[in-house]
Order: sequence, then structure tokens, then C-alpha cells
Amino acid sequence: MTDLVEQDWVPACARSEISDGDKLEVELPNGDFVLLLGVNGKVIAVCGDCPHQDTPLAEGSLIGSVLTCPVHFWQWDVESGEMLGPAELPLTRYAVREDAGQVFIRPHPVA
Amino acid sequence: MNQIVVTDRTGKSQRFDAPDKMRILHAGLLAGVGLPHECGTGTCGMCKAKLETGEIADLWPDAPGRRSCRRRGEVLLCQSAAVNDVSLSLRAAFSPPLRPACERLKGRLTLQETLTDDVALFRCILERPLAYEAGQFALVGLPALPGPRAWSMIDYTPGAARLDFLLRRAPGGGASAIVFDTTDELDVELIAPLGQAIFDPDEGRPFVAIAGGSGIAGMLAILARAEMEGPINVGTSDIVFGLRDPDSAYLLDRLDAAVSRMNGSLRVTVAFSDAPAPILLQQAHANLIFTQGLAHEIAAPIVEQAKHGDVPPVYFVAGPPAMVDASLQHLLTVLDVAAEDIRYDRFG
Repeated sequence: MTDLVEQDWVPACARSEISDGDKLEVELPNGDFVLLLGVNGKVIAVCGDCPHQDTPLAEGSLIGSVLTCPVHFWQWDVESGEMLGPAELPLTRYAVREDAGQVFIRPHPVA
Repeated sequence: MNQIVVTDRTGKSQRFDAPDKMRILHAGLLAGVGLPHECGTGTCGMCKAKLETGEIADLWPDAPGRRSCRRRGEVLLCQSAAVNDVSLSLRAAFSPPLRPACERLKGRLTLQETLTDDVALFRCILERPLAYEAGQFALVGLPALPGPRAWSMIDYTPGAARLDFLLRRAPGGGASAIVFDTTDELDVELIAPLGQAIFDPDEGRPFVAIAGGSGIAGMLAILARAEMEGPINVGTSDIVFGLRDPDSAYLLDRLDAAVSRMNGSLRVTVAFSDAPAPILLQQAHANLIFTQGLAHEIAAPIVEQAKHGDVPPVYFVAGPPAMVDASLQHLLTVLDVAAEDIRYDRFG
């Protein structure tokens, strides 16, 4: 775990906090809000706010791998990153690692 | 007068003036600036912005919409009045300006008809005619009450100097106490029209409207618009009207008459959640379909049928927040309706 922190990974939550279908918003030390999503046995990390009008995506719905913003229904497949429905902008994603029952995020968007 | 500068995430800036005590969102919308918003009354959180310079007065620190203000310096524009010149930044982009443009105007509000113990029709006589689209709403400021309320127009009478509203008495509600318990005319101030859940007959599409309780107001405005020049030849439109029980029912006569006038191009299903419809009620409204259940569940087979029609419909949802959320979830995730086909305004 220490190695990961030294490599710029930020501890986000315990792995047991996220099951498939769950959403958990965390704030990174740099002030970014990241939404952790339980999808098909994995944890996926995306930006906490919709790229459209900045709505908190934690208030949206996650069905399978499809995340839907609650306001204008922009949708993304968070596994593939594909934009769905009326979405016009991609979702920012963060790298995730799991170690010793903890979830870590690298606090720099990867896409 | 205070000068307001708002910069969006693309770096575009817009300037407008805001009188002392006027909410920055309202000043901006009246100036034709496309500030992001939904309800305009502190509920939805869509109008958040970061205060960069200057001072604001926070008019409702406990507004429900403040849950979206998670970063230092973020405020709701609808609950902020400028104390001096102010600059703000948006993490969102500017929206297109409102069409029709919204105006600030005075009116006089009177009780028109009591429908049940806690639901009534009110008429507001305006100082001048107002242009609006079917499905839009008005922000109505009441005497001695801080902040306006968002009320949907129940009729479609653009160009007339009046608006009709369907209001429900909210237990303990400050606006209810003023509106329902006052027999005199009330002087009100309106900012209108607002709202994106608009029915446009030029699209040539039928509609499926799911309405709970007083959410039927906007649907009746849409129906009035449809009756004027609507989807007579593009398939059947549907309204599913969710109510608690037959004793709380209202406006059934109006809906029954509309079905008759629309000559087969409108179906109205009344869904009582807590009790079946008595035979006498059904006989008195022979053009309506009565059933028992939750509106979004009753709507499911109607939506399935409409989806596969020749012309895909527009879906409208209106009503109490919990009912709206349940309906939206059902449409999107169970019935697989395309998000771009759903229209609603988030307030309540």
C-alpha cells in the first residue's frame, strides 16, 4: 500500500464498500470529485460531475455498465467509455487499482 | 444596480445588470442570458456557480439545491442577490437563451374554482399579454413571501393577458396559507415563461404524458395546444393521470370532454393508486379508462405500444418528485425509451 501511495495513487475507499450497481462519490486531495462505480465485479472511477451541466452524477442511475445523468439523461457505457443516447461529451475516467482490500485512484484523468 | 459578469467553462463571458435584492438567476434570464437552470426556486441545484469576486446575499442557505454546491465558493444563482458588482464562473456552459424570452410582469391572482378540499384553480390577470409555449411554467412571487413559487400554466392562451394555474394546498406551506386562505385578490409578480418541456405540434409527433396529481396542469396545457392544431393525423396520444383515490379526483370532466373532442386521437387513463374506481364514477366519465395502480406502471403497456407506432411519440412526465423519478427510471431503464424523447422540468 505504501508503494502505491508513493507512486501517486490515492486511497479512495475499502473495496467492501462497493458492490455491483453501487455508486460512491469521493473527494480527492486536489478537490476533484470522483465517482466510484461497481460494474461487473470491477470498480470503475469517473468524474463526479456530468460534463454537460455539472450535475452530480451520484444522483444518476447505474444499470449494468450504463451510467445516466439524472437531469438531461446523458448516458455512457462506463466500461467502454462509449457515449450513449444524447451524450455529446465523453466522461472523464481515472485509473483504479485494488490492493489489500483498498481501492486506489490515480488523481489524474486518463481520458 | 450591480454589474454581474458570468464566465462559463468555455471562457465565454456575459454581462448584465442586477438590481439590489433581485436574484442573479432571474436578472440574467430577464436580460436574455442563458444561465443554466431548471426550477428557478432553489430545489434543483442546476444554477450553481462559483463566486469569484464581489459579495452576494444568500437568500436561502438551506435550499435543497445547495446539495450540488460541493466546492468552496459555490452558490445557487437563484438564491443569490448581488450586494455589489460580482463576477462568477460556471463549470457548465451557457444554455441557449429562453424562447420565448421571459419577462417580469405584475398580475392579480384570484380563486377561480375549488376542485377538492386541497386543490383549486386560480386565475392570474396580467398587466399585459404574455407569449409562452404549452408545457411552460411561471415563477410567481407572492406578497410577504421570500422567493417565488414555480407554477405550471394549465391552459394554452398565448397572447391573452391571463394565466390559469392548478394549485395544491401543501400542509404547512407558506404559499398555500397565502393563496388558499385569502379571499381577496392577491398582487403577484411573475417571471415567465420558463421551462423546456414544451409540446410543439410542428414536430408532427403524438405524445404520451404521465402526470401525477397537480402535475396534470402542464399536460392540460399540452392537450390544449394539441387540440388547436395537434397530432390528429399522426397516431393516438395518451395521458396517464395518477391520483391517490377517487375522493381526491379532479378535472375528470375536462379530460372526458377532451377525449370526446379529439375524435379517437386521444386516450386518457386514470390510475388510482389506493382504491378502485367506483362504477358510478366510470359511468359518469365514459370516455376515460379507469384502473388501479401506480401511474408509471400503468403507463408501461401504453409506452410499449406507442414505441412501435409509425411515429415515435414525445414523452412528458410531471408530478411530485418521487413520482417523476420513478417514471423517468421506468421509461429509461425498463421500457428502453430514448432519453432524447423524454421531456420534463425538474421542480417541486
